[in-house]
Amino acid sequence: MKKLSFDSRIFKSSLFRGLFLLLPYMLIAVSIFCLTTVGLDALTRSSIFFTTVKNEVKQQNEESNDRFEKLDVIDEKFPYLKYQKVWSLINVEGWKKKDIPCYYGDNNSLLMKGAGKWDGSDFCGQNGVTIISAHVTMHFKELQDTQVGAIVTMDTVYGTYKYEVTEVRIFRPGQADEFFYNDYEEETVILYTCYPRESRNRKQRIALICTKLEGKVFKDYAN
Amino acid sequence: MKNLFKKAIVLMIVAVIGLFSTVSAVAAPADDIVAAAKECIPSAYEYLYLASFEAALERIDIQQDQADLIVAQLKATKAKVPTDKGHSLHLYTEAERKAMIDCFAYCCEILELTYKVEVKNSDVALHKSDEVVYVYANDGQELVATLDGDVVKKTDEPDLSTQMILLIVAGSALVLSAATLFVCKKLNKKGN
Repeated sequence: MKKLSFDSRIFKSSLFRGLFLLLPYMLIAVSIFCLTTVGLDALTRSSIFFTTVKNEVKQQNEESNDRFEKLDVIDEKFPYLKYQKVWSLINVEGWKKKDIPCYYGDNNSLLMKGAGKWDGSDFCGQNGVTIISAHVTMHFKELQDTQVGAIVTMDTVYGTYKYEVTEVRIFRPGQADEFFYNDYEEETVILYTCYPRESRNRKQRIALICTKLEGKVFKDYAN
Repeated sequence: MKNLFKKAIVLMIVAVIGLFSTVSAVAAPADDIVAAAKECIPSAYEYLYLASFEAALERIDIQQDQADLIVAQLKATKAKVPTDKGHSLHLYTEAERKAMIDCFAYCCEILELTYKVEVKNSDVALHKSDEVVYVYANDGQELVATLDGDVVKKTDEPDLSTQMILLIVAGSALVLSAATLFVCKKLNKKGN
């Protein structure tokens, strides 16, 4: 077999040299693209990004609270909430973590940034069940320390809703139907995450079942 | 059996989208949409996907002629699937399933919606091979709904595999570019 050296004809051809000179630049472009993607992703999870998002949600929340202050039932159509955007901030009494962003949707990429509301569940103010999840290693780390009676506040973009934890339930994923679809008398929020936090093999889930104390209902959902 | 279940799940979800889209398209007020949906679709779907679709349909600008076409299609489908047999499509006959899927595809076409189906990896045996339907508006630019019958999500460790893959690719590309630059220099020297 003929030995391939830098003196070989193939290396001396201008086409090969041209392509070979382009290669490092192409590879640098690939690495810049990958690093930018990772960087942007990290940025959307950074506190700088969240501060802006949280401030926007808080501002809308305050405006809505002022606007609907004197109403028992909101005589408006339920607002359009954009999919994959933050629609509420979650605060649980006793938790160190404050203003947890809650996204509309609960796919993997959203759960990297905050809590997520399952698509098929209702929103606060719709007189139904709101099902919210987040990672146990991230936003719902303190969930399993929560006691019955703790107050959960949902500062949504259309007003504030307060709930009381009425039950803490440990379950396996297959058992969720037993209480996720219950016909609760009061509007309910269910917050859940993996359990137990200390284990590396978390096959179970822990849920806080929270019953509404305060918050305006929208007319289309009023009983 | 497993395959049948897998198919049944995706068919069920697909049918739900189709029926919701059709019903919602014609009724402007939200009350009418909800009432019509309750009449036309099995009760289990209604609970699972009503909230999702009420919100998603807000994004679609539906014209009267589109609505008329969809209503006709819905009526035709209802005639082919007259009985509510339950919330899983494996309970329906092959012909009924086909009618529902055709209805969904037709509605998507009329409403200019696109969708893709992905297999998910669930912890729950019942949902092991479930398929999730992603519905898009605006030429596939805007995700407007994710139909995932498996409510309980995986919430233990966040999945960082994509980021890791990108970092490995970036690192490898940088190393390779350094190596090729080195070889280029050698080539240039030899050339001179």
